Amino acid sequence: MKKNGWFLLLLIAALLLPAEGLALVYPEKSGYVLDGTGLLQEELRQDIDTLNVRTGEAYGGHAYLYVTHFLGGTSAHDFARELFSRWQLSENDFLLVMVIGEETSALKLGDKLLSLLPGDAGDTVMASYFRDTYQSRAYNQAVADVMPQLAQRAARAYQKSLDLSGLFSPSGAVSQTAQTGWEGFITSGDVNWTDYGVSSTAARPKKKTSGLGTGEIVFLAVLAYFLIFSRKKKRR
Amino acid sequence: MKAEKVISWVVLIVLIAGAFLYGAYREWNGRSREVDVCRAALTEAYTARREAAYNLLTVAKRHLNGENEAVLAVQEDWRQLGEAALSAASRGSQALTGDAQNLFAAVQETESLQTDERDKAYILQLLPQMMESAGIRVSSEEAAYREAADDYNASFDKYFISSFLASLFGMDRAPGLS
Repeated sequence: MKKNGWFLLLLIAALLLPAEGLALVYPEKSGYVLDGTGLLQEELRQDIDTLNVRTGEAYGGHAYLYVTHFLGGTSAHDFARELFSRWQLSENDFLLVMVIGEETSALKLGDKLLSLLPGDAGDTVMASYFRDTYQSRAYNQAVADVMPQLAQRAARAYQKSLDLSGLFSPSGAVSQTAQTGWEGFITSGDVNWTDYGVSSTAARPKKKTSGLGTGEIVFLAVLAYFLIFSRKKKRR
Repeated sequence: MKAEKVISWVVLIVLIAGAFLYGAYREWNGRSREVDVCRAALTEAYTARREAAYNLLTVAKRHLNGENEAVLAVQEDWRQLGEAALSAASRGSQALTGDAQNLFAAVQETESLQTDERDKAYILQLLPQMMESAGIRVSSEEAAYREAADDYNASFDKYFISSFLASLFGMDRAPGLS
């Protein structure tokens, strides 16, 4: 643990503040998995990518995952709904949002998927394959358990079969407990806050507006004078 | 002939007055917009600070009682940061600096944190960084807003005609910070 602690300290010293430090930001879509915490294992990401190739072929839908530390007061459900819309996910897709620091999560299903799945199938899958493991902080395991289940249910709803062979295998070393695996806990973001604070002010142009200057007023007056009095001269 | 001359002068005067009024309106409108831009940026900075406070409260409440003095103080700052009045939000932001320090210290003393590696990382690393960065941003935006608001408000006091025209255009003084 001490080793981990030192590693964290060094990491923090070297890294910039994560993007989560900013006012709530909806991230840009980037692949099927967006992990703002660095907690997910690479193998798991690869499995989700492969899963998406297969779901795409099977029923045309995809599985998305977003992981973050905090949402600053926005509910996970509201965030998932908004993110689903901003990423322009299709009616066959689903999105799982995990908010590690708040110990909350949300599943957003595409409209067609929602109408095809019986009743509260999404909630049932989450309750059976996700919540307990997630609460015990075995995040990789929770994802490895729930993603294939959700994809399988979705495929069934479209009356298609889905091949899950070789994916999310127990040998995939998705071992993370509440006390281990925190080395990559805090990751770097794209935004240096100190710079952000300065640049946001600097980027705001100082607008020096002015009304009509004396020159403009005089010009208008002279113009009006000539317009009016030239007509008079012509008549003479 | 005489009537024509009078009409000409009236037209001339109306044109000059119109130009003057239009110029004054453009000037006031521009300055007011500059204050609005600064205000929007400042409000966003307060929102970020409020979110950081919320995150801190989320973690702190897992280790401290909700009635804890340090928790209540940060909760009050969080509430003030959400108020529409800039002076209230500014007060909340200022108070949060000290109150958050107290809350960090209080959580660090809890036994439950010692065995919780995740929350320890939050309390010792991520959240203090978040809080500090949000504080820096607020300071920067407050300075920008103050400058713009002072500049704008000073125009009211410069000439009587100036403030008269501003009220004619429905302009108010920019609110101050605490």
